[in-house]
Amino acid sequence: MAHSSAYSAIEIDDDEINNATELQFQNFTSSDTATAAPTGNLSSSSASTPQPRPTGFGSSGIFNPGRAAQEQAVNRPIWSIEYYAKFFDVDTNQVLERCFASVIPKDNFLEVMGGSPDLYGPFWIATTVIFVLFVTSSIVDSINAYLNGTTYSYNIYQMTFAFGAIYTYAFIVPLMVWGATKYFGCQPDLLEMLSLYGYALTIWIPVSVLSVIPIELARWILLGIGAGLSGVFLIRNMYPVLSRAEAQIAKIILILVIAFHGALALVLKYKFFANTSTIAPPADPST
Amino acid sequence: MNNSVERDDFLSPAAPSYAEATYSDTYDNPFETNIPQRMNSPSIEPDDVPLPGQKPLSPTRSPLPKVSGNIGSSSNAASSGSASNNLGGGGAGLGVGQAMMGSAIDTLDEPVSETLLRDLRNVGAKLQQVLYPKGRKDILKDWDLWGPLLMCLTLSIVLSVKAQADQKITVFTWIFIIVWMGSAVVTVNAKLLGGRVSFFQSVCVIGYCLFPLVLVSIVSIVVPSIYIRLPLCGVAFAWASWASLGFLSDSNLANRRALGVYPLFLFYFIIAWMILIS
Repeated sequence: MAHSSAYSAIEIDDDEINNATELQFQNFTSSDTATAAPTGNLSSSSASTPQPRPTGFGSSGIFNPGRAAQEQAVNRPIWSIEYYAKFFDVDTNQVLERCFASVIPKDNFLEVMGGSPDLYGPFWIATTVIFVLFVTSSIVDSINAYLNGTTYSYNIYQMTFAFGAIYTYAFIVPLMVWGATKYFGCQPDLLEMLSLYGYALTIWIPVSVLSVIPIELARWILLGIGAGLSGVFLIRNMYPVLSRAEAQIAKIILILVIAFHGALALVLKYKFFANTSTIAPPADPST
Repeated sequence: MNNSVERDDFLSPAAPSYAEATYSDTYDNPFETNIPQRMNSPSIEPDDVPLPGQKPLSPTRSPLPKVSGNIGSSSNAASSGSASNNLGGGGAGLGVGQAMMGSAIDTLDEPVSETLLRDLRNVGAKLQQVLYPKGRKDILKDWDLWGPLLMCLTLSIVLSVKAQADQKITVFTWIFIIVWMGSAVVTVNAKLLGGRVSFFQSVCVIGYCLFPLVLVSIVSIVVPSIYIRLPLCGVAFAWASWASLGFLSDSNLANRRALGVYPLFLFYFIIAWMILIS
């Protein structure tokens, strides 16, 4: 069904410049240019179309995708992919900087983000944590199996559980906290809340990797460090928002946030870094 | 950059020819300008050639009404209101592309086996390109989803056969979800970062580049030793990442390249890991 000769007409995306020159060469009238855009707001998009073009022509190096993404995001309907580009408007350095600032919470994270919270970090950090948890927990299990002298076969439900737990913590919990603070008039920002919770997960990547060490004390210490650092990070950056509510309500929300955080830490410990002794009892009666 | 929306949903290939038609229609007699151009195109070639053993009634008139009928309908569609028509040009443009594709090779009276084999040969050529990504880079630009489906099913079946007895279905589901959702999410991520990628091309490339990993998963059915599988998986992971990077290198992501590439590594890594531990 796919013949190279026929589809050659379709490969447009890569030689944009060729295509662009072609389009211009054919001398579109203004109405033609406007109709090329599939969205409803023809006039604005056709007006902004020529602006990035000249820089794009000279050399692709000058072309700055970040700026273009920002321009593009203006006036996009909410169901189009381009609408969400503004949440992904970050550079590699920015993401690394934010990850680092979340692991060592000495600066105010909202200042580090500089008023442009992103969703790239929360989504990919959460996904990374899920996969890292699966990988390390399978290593931990195989070490346990080796120590117990049994053969190891991996447990895919670990992955299912990790997906459920981490995505809940990264997306549902901030949504709930946002809803609660909004209800009590703290004027929270949903995007900031999601960023905060997402980047707070960064510390769990090194903690999970190091928890492979089969020493129970080391695992507990690592868990404490992870939970402590990300907890401090969360509360410190959430406090300005919470302090807008009444003292009593702020205290309750704060306790709930800490409770959720502690629950995540314990779930990770007992689900993914279970020590040999928790595995051993079922094996004992058989011996 | 701003045009990347249109460029991605495949109506742009038809757009130039469309614009041409509209343009010429508004200023010229469509029969004069379009007939020679259309007769050069292969899409209506079969119509011009009289069937063997059949004499045209009048040699000067008979090809013309046929051809003009053809053109009439298409130019009608093209000129019936430029705005609305070009807006909805997605479907129409695709239709033109398909018409061209269908008639590029005469597939009417060939055996079914030939039709199937041609698709398989296509998939085979692309797989070869993935294994040795040095020759024609653009072969993966005419995307198909047969290859990714084949890779995905092979991987899912091999891994689910080797899984624990009560987890076979879950393993199959996870591999299937990871391959399709993974490639879709990686592509959408690159688009959101402002990269110039086409959705299905990218999904096709990511799927085809699973091939080294699929090979290793098949090999590891018969090789239980971890000391052989670990380096094999490592090599296959590096190979798959390298091949897909080569194909997706021109997505123009300037200083956020690492952000687009990282999910790709994550995707291949988790699959390589599941092959390793299964």
